Amino acid sequence: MNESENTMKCQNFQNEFDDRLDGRLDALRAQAFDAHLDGCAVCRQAWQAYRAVWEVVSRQPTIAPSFGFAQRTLRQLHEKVDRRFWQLPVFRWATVLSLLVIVSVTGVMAYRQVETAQSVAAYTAAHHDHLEDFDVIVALDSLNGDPEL
Amino acid sequence: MTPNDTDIALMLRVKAGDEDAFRELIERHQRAVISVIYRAIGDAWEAEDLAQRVFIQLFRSARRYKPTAKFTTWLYTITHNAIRNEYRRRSRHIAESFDALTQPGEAGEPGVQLADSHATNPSQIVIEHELQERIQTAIKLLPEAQRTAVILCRFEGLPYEEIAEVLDCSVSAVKSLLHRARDTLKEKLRGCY
Repeated sequence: MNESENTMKCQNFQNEFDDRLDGRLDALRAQAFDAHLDGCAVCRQAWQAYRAVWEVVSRQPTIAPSFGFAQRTLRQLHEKVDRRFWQLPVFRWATVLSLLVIVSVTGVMAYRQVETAQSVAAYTAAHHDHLEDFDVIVALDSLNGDPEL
Repeated sequence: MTPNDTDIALMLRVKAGDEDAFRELIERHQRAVISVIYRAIGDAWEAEDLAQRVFIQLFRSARRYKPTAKFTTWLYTITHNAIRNEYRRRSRHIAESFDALTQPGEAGEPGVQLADSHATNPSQIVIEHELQERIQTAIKLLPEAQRTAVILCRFEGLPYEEIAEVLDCSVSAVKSLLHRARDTLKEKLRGCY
C-alpha cells in the first residue's frame, strides 16, 4: 500500500467525490481515490449512491432551440428599437402628469372664478339700494380683483 | 483562434452595431442559454421567451462591453440574473407559477424539440415522463445558487472557476453548493436510483 493510499481516510473520502466526478483530481490523487474504492466497501457504496443521483439527474432530456429562434430574436430587437418615443413609458408618464397638472390648475382657476362671482352676487344683493355709493363700488372692484382706485 | 476569441471578436463587432455578428453569437449560444433556462424553470416556451430577453439584454449592453473575462462567463451571468428576476417576478404574482402549462406555439412556429429519450414503449414513456417531472421539480426547488451551480456544472460542464465568477463566490463555495445540492436531490429523488 503506497503513501497516497495511506493518507486517504474514509472520513475525508466523500470530500473528493465532486472533484473525482469532474476530473479535477491529478493522476496521483485519482489513483489513490480508485485504490481506496477497491479496498473499502462502505466508501464504494457511498460513491455508487453519489454517482447514481447525478446519473438520474443527467437523464433530464436536452432541449433544442425551435427553428428560427435567432431570426425571431432579431425581429423582436427591431420592434423594441423602432418603438416611437411617444410609446416609451417615460414619455407616457410625463404626458399623464402634465395633463394632471393642467387639469388641476384649470380646476382651481375655475373654482376661484365661481367663488368670486358668488361673492359679487351676494354683495350686490346685500347692497342693492346703494350700488352708486363710492365705498360699495370700491368693495365690488376688490371682489372682482380690479386694482383699488 | 479559440472559441472564446471568436466570441470576443463577434462581441466587439456587435459593439460596433454589426447585427450579423449578433445573429452569429445567438446561433453559437442559443442552445446553451435556452437549455440553462429550461432546466431552471421547466417550461420550454417560457425558456425561449426568457432566452430572447437575455440576448436582447446582451445587445443593449454591448456598448459597455469590455473583453476582460471569458465571454460565456458574462453570458451565463446575464442568464442567471434573468432567471433570478423571473423567479422573483413569479413570487410576486402568486397566481402564476412555473407549473402551469403554456400554450403550443403559434402557427408557423415549430415546437421546441426534446431529445435523448430513453423510453421505447408506451409504459416506459409514461415512467420516463414521471421521472423527468420529479427531476425537474427537484431541481426547481433547489435554492437559487445551488440550482445554478448544478445546472452549470452537471449539465453545461462549466469548470468551478467559471461558475464561481457567475455566482460571484469562491471555488470552495461552488463545491459546497454542489455538495449540498447533491444531498438535497438525493432526498427528493429517493426511489429513483
